[in-house]
Amino acid sequence: MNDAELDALLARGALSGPTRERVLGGVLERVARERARPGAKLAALLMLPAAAAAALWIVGAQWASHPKPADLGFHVRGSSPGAVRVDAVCTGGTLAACPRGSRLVFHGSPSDGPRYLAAFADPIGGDAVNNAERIWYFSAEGETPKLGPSAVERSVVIGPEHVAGRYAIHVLVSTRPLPRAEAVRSEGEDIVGRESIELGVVP
Amino acid sequence: MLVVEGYLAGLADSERAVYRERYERCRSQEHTAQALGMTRQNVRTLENRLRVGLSRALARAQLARVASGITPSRGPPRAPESGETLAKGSLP
Repeated sequence: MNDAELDALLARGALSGPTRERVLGGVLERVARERARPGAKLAALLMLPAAAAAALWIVGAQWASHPKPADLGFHVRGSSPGAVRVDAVCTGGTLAACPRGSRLVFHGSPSDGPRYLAAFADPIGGDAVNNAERIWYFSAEGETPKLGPSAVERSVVIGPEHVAGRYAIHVLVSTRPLPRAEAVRSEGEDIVGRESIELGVVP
Repeated sequence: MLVVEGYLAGLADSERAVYRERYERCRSQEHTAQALGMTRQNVRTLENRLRVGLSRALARAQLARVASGITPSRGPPRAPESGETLAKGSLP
């Protein structure tokens, strides 16, 4: 009996940490393999002008200095073909039960032009989240991650401002950095993508 | 599943704590280590011990079934019906 089968028995039918990591590891490995295909690399090299490559290198170095998730629980959200896609994962658990102190990692898929990320969390259910308020992750008033030809990851800590309970995380992708007021309205031609992700914060 | 339940009931405290975090709360090794005040290596070791322990418990249970002569393919022992003879060596 292998480890996966033993894990399944130990979890008694539920999703366990080891199983989640095993599934995720497989997904990440497959993605990395696809990215490393020689044909894809060559095409990317031919298409990218030198200036863009230099800019990418700088941006890449900046991203590399940020902490990367030790383990990812990817939850790919549906979106229309060609649209910029943003996923979110919780490094310490699942999106349904994300322990305070974990990191929430936003993963933006590559886009064909510069795009900017805005994100905030609204408590769900009023009384279910006592005295919880809107929490801002990204906006023009603060930090606005820029999406480009390569995928980007940016993480935020689920800190003490997150009262235990359920939140709706609103993620907006726009052609210019969005101020908070515009992000909340979520209207306008500048907005090219939006995602709503449910997050459960646990102590 | 009875074997699994029995095995889980006999876990040591440290193993039970890791089991709860990893298999019931679906937490990462890193978060489990933080929550329990252990190193990640300790968590990994205890997690592996859980698997090895369950594997042994399953093997023992299987052995016990074979030793008692009760296997799923044979079914429970039964009394001979009228006209049926007992196989040699099966008499008490």
